[in-house]
Amino acid sequence: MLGLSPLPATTAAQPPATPRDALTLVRQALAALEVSPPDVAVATERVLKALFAQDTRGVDMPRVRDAAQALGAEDAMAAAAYLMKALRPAETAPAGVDRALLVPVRPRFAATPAAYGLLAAAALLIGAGILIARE
Amino acid sequence: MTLPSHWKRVWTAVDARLALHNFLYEVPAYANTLPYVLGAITLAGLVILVGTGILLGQFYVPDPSAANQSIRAIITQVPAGQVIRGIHIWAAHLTVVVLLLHVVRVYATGAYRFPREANWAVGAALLATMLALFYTGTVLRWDQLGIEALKHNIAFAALLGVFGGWFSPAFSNHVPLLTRLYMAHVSLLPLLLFILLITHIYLVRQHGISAPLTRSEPAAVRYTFAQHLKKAAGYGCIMLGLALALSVIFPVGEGAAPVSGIEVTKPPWLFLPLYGLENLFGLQGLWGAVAFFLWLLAVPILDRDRAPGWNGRRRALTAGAAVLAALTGLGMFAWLTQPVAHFH
Repeated sequence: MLGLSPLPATTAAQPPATPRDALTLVRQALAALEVSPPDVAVATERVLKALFAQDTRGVDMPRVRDAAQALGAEDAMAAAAYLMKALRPAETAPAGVDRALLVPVRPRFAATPAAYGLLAAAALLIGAGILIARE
Repeated sequence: MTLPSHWKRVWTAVDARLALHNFLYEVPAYANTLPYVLGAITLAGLVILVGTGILLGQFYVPDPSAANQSIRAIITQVPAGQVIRGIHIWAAHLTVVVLLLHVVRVYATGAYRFPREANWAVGAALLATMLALFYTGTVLRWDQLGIEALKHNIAFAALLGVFGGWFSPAFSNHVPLLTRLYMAHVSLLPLLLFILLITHIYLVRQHGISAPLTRSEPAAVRYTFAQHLKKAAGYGCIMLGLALALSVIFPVGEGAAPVSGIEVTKPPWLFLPLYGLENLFGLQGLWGAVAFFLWLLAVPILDRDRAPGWNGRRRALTAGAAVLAALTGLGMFAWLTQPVAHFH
């Protein structure tokens, strides 16, 4: 439905410990780079395996090579960008993925009137709470 | 309680039907001090969690192929979805903090001793249920952290052997484990929590609120249980305000759609001690959770000291401090080290 298979539907049949297809390996490398701090060692291992994978469906391999070079230069951000580009979108290849779902959503504090309104409501709640608790 | 006459009439009419005067029984003055209201504040936190959880449940899809996407939709498309999810998650953290403080207070003052041993056991079960709710909530995120937490569920099932049936994916082959954990998060565990809570409150009512070790009760001051609840509601307002402020200042995001086969995340702070044990002893370290709860259950049996006041608490407090230090040390160890692969 979303062109993405995070996990087999039942997880009853466990996937092999080390996948052999480049698509899964690249996604694993990407996941390792998206944590804070990025796990470059795991990402490098997965990218190297992906380079030698026989099943490369859904993956733009020259981009994986670029990612390997970026990892060699310890540039995790560039490597993640290359890996993202290496993943072909779902609509163009049967084994592709929905790249939108591979980008974490990281909202930040927005200095908008709505945000300040909510903060004012929070302050009111805290104030009312203090009054009730002290009464 | 002095009320204007029209409110008095309303109160009389409502009380005649709901027998609310039963909540006006007297409680000691110390019961309205912060250390003794922590349990009631936890209850207020649960009310916030249930309310926001019901709202989130309308938009969450508990299926592995759509869960991550549905959380993104909650954040970006559902009106106030991001704030409601933020309140739910921050309130969960705050509630667990308050609950742990409550446990520490009960332990420190020896409130588990006769005749409250059974209520201590119920409290331990409540703590376990709360941790299970926190854990299943983590899985429901369905990002890399969520899928790695799910792997621990499967590993724990294997450790439990024949007793791990329900936790295993093989229990129901055609229903994803994520869906079953969602069911546990929204129905099974809340139901269990409710039953345990009712039992806990009933036993508190029967035995009364345990007395402090040193303070004497000023005879002139009289409080009712309704005032105790009112105080807890006040602290509940503060908690809601804090959760709202935190959800605006530090909005909660969502990780990328998960991929299995790697371990690159660490669990939430609450589970870091267990993660530390796992780093030291492998998956067998998960038995540490079982050992901790067995110790909690055994506390009233192990503590035979009946001397009054803080003098009678020396050994128990030393043991408690040792456990707390071990948990903190393990947590710090896990926090400072790189994520470790336990499965692959």
